[in-house]
Amino acid sequence: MRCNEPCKMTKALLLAAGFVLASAQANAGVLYGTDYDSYNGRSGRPSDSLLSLGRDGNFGAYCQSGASSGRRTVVYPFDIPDQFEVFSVRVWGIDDSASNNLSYELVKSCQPFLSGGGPVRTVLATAASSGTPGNFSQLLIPAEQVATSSTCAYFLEARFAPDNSACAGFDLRSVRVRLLSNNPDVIFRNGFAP
Amino acid sequence: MNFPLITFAVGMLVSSHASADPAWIQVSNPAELAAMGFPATAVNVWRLPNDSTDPGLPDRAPLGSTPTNASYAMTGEDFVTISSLSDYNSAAYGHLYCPTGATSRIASASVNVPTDRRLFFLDMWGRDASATQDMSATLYATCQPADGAGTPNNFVLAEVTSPAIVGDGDFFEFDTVSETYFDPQRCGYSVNLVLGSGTCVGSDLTLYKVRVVIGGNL
Repeated sequence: MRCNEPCKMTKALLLAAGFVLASAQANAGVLYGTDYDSYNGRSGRPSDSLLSLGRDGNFGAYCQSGASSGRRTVVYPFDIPDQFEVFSVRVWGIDDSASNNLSYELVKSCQPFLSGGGPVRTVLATAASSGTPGNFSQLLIPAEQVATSSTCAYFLEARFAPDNSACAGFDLRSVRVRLLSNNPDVIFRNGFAP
Repeated sequence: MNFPLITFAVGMLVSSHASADPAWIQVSNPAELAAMGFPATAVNVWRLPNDSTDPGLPDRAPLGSTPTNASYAMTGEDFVTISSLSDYNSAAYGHLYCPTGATSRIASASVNVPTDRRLFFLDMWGRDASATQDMSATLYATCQPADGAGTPNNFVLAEVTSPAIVGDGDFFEFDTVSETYFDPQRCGYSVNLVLGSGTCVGSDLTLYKVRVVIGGNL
């Protein structure tokens, strides 16, 4: 089929638009606005002052509490812009413990926008290390989640042992946590995003 | 453009053996590893010799405070000690030092900047009034396979050490980062702070601020 002058112009415009979009995404270093946020294990916050954390040689965290009472959970808060899509959280760790596993919960905690109210906690995804000794990696994938940061906080909990139970010490380590989110407004990412 | 450096993490992680890239030098001296805060027997710490003549590095002196590049700054409160049992003091100003006589003197902070930004400089402000000890800050990338389990490797990207006493001890030091781009898909980034080499000397070694300077909007 022959392409007349208006057809050629349309093709040229489409081609130019394609280049613009492609270059915008290439320059931003992302595809479709996806973005990674990586946190070393030791950057997590103990959920209880009775939980004593140590650091291994890879900036990973381990629980060095003995049999004292208290929670055994570390919290990794996520700073997710409103309306971003939460694709997944990948965790890396080391599990050489025969008795304990490292279990994770991706949580959102929501309250009313402009009124008082207790936080409503929703577990979006879970994962745990297995009994196989050595390095492990797990993926937590929530059902489709558009972040509503105006009313909800998002965080990952890593639990070294049940509450009030003994930890496995250096044998169980949370090395790294990575959040994968998506900016749906990718067109404006290159020109207007900070 | 130094392609091997840009793809260092990919090469390292696909092979799972950092020694596959000759540009990286393994840190194997037990004393040096211990001084950096790693186990003396660690086999997963690597260093890339910096190239301060890299033409891609911006000349900051003429820029003054003009923000042509972006910054990620960390003060003492952003750091966590190597153990939550460690003693520390922020001097009420967001600084960080370990109290005199304490033995735990290592802390770290996570670094998060937008994906694919070029890392340019590691800056440190602090006070070194100790005649016998120095403090140091080191920028690390800790890398693993992007989508699976694997042994972490630690890559030294930049290192700064406090100078000998100058005046009241306040100092500013910086180091350049060889051509490297922020890749949080494969690596986590941390600044490791080491306050001296023996028992702590209190506020004579104090961190004021650490800053990672990156390329501006892509």
